[in-house]
Formats: sequence, structure tokens, C-alpha cells
Amino acid sequence: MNEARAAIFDAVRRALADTASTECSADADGPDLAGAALQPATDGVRPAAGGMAHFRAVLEELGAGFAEALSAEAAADWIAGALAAAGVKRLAVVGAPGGPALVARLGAAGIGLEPLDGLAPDACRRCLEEVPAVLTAADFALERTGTLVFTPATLPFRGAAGLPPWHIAVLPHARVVADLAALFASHPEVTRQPLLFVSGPSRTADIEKTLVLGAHGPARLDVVVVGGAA
Amino acid sequence: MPDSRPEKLKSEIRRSLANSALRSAVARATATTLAKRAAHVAAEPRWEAMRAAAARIKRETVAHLDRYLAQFEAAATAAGIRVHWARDAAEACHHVRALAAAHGVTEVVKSKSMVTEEIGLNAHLERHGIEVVETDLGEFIVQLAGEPPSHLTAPALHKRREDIGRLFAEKLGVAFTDDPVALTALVRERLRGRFLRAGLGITGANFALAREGALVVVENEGNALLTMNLPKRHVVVLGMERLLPSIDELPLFLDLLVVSATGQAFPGYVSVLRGPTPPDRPGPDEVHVVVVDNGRSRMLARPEYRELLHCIRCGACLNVCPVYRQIGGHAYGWVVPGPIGAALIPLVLGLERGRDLPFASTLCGACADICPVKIDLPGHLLRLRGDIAAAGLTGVAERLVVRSWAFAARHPRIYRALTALPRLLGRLPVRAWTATRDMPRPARRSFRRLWDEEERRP
Ligand code: SF4
Repeated sequence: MNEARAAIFDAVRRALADTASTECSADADGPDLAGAALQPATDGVRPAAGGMAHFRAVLEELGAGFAEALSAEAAADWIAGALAAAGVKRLAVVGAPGGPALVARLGAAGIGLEPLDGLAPDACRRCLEEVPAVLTAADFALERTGTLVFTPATLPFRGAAGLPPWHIAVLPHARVVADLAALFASHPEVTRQPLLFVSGPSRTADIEKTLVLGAHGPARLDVVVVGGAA
Repeated sequence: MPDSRPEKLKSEIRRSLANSALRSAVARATATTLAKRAAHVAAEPRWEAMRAAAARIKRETVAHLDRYLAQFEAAATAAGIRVHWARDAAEACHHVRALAAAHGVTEVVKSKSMVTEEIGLNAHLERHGIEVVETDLGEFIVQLAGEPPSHLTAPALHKRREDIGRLFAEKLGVAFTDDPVALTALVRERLRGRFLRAGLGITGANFALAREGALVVVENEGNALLTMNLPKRHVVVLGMERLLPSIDELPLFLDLLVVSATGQAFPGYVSVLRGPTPPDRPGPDEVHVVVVDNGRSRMLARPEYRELLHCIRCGACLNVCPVYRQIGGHAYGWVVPGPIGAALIPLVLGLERGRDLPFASTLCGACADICPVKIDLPGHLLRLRGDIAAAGLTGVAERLVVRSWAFAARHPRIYRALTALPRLLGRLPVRAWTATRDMPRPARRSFRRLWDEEERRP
């Protein structure tokens, strides 16, 4: 193995002998390669005042649902209503999306909650294979692209976003930012973590470019934003 | 199934042109993606600046690949990722098989990856008794059909829904349907158990981030998400040119890749992997990356072609290419088709084997205009034509014509006499040419004569 490594580095260095003197951003903090022309199109963290019209429109275009709730209780009522309308009575829960009040209210509404925290890895996986829906907390959302952002703090098992047929994600209004560049600029700690970005339900267009939802992951995704501009 | 060899280009072109179903499927699919892409590009005033920045970043990364590779290795290792190095396809396949063997794995799930196609990983594993299940819907379809993918991002783009329905009925023993929703549901149901059983998940990576030692996997279906997170072990096979300096460049490259590849604003799922999962959580407890050279360092050693290593495999140059749109991907005879394939094949497989490919282009320039990292594909194809001619690999007739023309161009009298020739062309044996094209009617007066008249005018 080391022999292969040495041979590859040797070949690469010999091949690049002509460029050795030019600047390399690997050596230091590095030059601003992208340049000023590529600053985020919008200005950082999204102000709440304008409402969620664009975020909602993008999500709906992606085939996802959207709800805005002023409180955790209102969010719980919306989720309970959606589950009831679909005849779903069981819900896996990762962490405490929207806070303990939201989860407690869902329980009080008669939803069979299956908390995943503290389960052994195999039990957690088994539960996610069986439940019809999972509730998660997203760390952030990107307004421009309708994208949810998860870190291990909120989604310790990424597979949770891919196994059940229905994914409901909750996040605070203040956590909706303009786009990915704005997120990295305003929350640099995010760039130091493993990340999962989810935009809309799982989809494919591999057969004659016909869009089909639920290719391998959830066919249904709902995003509930809690604590609006009001 | 087509005979996938670049030497067969001419016969494969004839075969593809005779297949009107293939041509209409490819034309429809590429037109759909191009229209969606165009809408996004029109709404992004910074698009040209983004392309220029991406080209700069790739040039910088490739020009210092040794240092970025070392940086990636150090950071990935520190994060618990085991890094393996493969000089060629055989070494890369060996690493993956050894890993499977070490854990007694007989079933693996895999998500779409061009580098694994390039190294022939599936065939290698299957020869050693390891079953490989392609999980991307398009890859699953072509695997079932026993075909290679025909496009970088849409492997089954050449197949119509009724072809797929018939294939499923024949190979999976299900009732015929050509409904994409039903066909997709069937694959989902069949593969779910495979994800859960597999001892190893194999993926490629769209980008590797040198500073962070992280790997970035982009997809829409969620199959890569399951491939990476359900089996206990995950192997990433990485072409060594796929590096970006850091996560700072990721927003730019994601935008360019996804808009160019599918005409979407953002892909369904993007995973930024930074090592194995802690033991108390579900997920892979081992993550390996096999960094593959397989001819890339040879290409690096040729500065005039180095730019080809900037490719991010978005497939946009295929979609826009008038040749690809007529003949599809299989005719090119290698894993990367289209204009980028026509440039890569002679360099990877050798000028002799790939000598016809650079000529399978109208040099219209559409590929260079659309490429998100601004690769001058027509320039490379032209240069390759020169290399092929210099190596004496062009046909005798062509060499004769070009030499005669060069001679005439150096002798004005002969040249002038020859300009009268077009009027005789109707009587020359050019039927092979005019069978599929109109012969332009020659002008009554030559440019030289017009020029002389103009000069004489008071
Ligand atoms: S050459 Fe450019 S357009 Fe073609 S696949 Fe590569 S990056 Fe995309």
C-alpha cells in the first residue's frame, strides 16, 4: 500500500514539476479563490420580516409540504392533524424537535411516539424500518433552495432521513438563512461538522425524465417552521 | 448489448443512427435537462463569474494536486477514515475486494459512481463471488440489462419506459407495466432488504475536501444515503482529481454541478462525510477511501491536456453535443462518453484505440460554452487530432488530401487553378458525402476574383 502511495505521489510531483513555484492555498489560509464576485446573492441570515413566501414556494415546487406555526403547541397540532388525516398513528422521534412541549402535545394527541434517543443502534434501525413516519429537528434551512440542514447534534443517525416513507422536520424561524454560502458565512461552526442536506422528498427522473417521488427515501416531506415573524 | 470498444466507433455510429427509438429517447431526455438548466442560468446573473471562479479553483487544485492530496489524507486519517492508494484499476479493485473478504461480505450495495465503472469494480467483485447490487434506479436498470451506463448522470437515458417495463417483466418475473411510478416502486421494494442485509456499501464521491478530509456525495434518490449509512462498512472510491481545496468552495461547486447536471437548484441529498459513526449510534463503524490514479498522473504530466482533469462529470457537454444526441453514449465505447469522453478516451486508452473519437465532433463549441468549469473541449479535440495525425494514425486518403492541399497552399498558381475545381465536383465521385448532406453550390466568381475586382475599382 505504501508502495502505491509513494509511486502516486512521485508520479504527481514529477508531472507537476513545472508548476512548483506558483502559489498554493494548501500552504496557508490561502487566497480567496472564489473572489469577491461570488459573495452570497442575498445578505446573510434571512430577515424574518418578509415571511416565508419564497421558502414555501420552493418547497412546494419540490413536492414538499410547508407549515408555519407561531408556537410549539401550534406546530404539534398541525403535525397531529396531518398524521390523523393520513391515518398514521406511530411516529419515530429523533431528539426533541421544537422542544419538549411539542413532543408532549403530540403524545397527548394520541400519537404513538417512538423516541430513538438512547436506543441501541440495531433497535434504532429496526424501529426506523417499521414506522410510517419520523419527526426530526433540522439545524437550519436554506431559503433559496428549500434545503434542510442536519448535523449530528440533531440527526445522530443520517439514515433516519432516508428510511421511513414520511419525514417531518421542525425548525425555528430564526434558523432559516438565505443559502449555503450565507450559512457558512454566518455559522462557520457548521463547516466543521458532518452534514446532511435534504431538499424535498426523495425523487428520481431516471425513466424518461418523468419525476417520481419516493425513489428510495421518503415520498413525503413536511417542513414546519416554528415561531414566525409575529 | 453494444460492443463497448472505442475502436468500433464507426460501426456503432451506424448502428445508433439506425435506431430511431434510441435517438428520440436521447433527444427528449437531453432537451428536458437543457431547458431546466437554461432557466436556472438565466436567473443567475453571476453564472459567468461562477464558471470563471470554478475554472480558477480547479486549475489551482490540480496544479498542486500533490499537496492537496497529502492534506486530504492527513485530515481524513485524523477523522478516522482509512485512506488506501491505488495506482491502477487492478489495485483499486483489490482494495475493495480485500475489505469485503476481511469481513466475510458476500453482498454489497452500491450507488452510482463513474470511477467504479472505469475500474470495472462490479465485474471484479462478482468474479470473486461477491454480489453487487446497483441501487440508483438508472444503474439498476442498466445492470439488469447487462449494459454499461450511457450517460454520466442519467445511466438509462437511452431506454424508453416500455423497454424498461419489458426488461423488468423478463428479468424480475413481474407483470408488464410501463408506468414509471410503478416501476420505481418495484425497485424500491426489491432493494430495501438489500440495503439492510449488505455488509458493505460502495459509493463514489463528487468532491473530496482537502482541508477537512471530508467527502461529498450528491444524489436525488436517497439510495446513496442508505448505501452509506445502513451497512456496517462504507468504501468510497475516489478519482484523485476530485479534490477541492476546502469546504469554502463547496457552495459554488454544488451550484455549478447541480444546475449543469440536472437543471435543479439543489440536489435531493448532499452528504458531507467526516469519518465513521461513533459506536453507540447506527451507521458505518468503518469508512475507507480508495484514492485512484489509473492514468490520471500520466494526464497530469501533459500540461496541454491537464485541464481535462478539471471535469466534475456533470454531463452537460453530452446533453448539448449534436453528435452525442444522435448516437447516444454506448457508441463511444468507454465509460465516459460525449465530448469529454472523446477527449479522454485517446489519452486514457491510447491514441491508437481512441483515434476516431476526436473526429466525432463538429467542433461547434457548444460543449465549451456549457461546461461549468470552462474546459476548452473543442481545443483539446483539435489538439488530439493533430497528435493522431502526427502519429500517422489517420487514413491514407485523408493524409493524401491534406498533404495535397498543403502543397497547393504553398504554390499560388496551382492553388488558383484548383479553385476552378468545385465547378467540376458534380462529376467527381463524392456520392458517399452527398448521400447524407447537400453539396453547397460553388460561387460563380471566386473570392480572389472579387477581391481583385474590388482592388481595381477607382
Ligand atoms: S467536461 Fe465540463 S460539461 Fe463535460 S462533464 Fe466535464 S464538467 Fe461537465
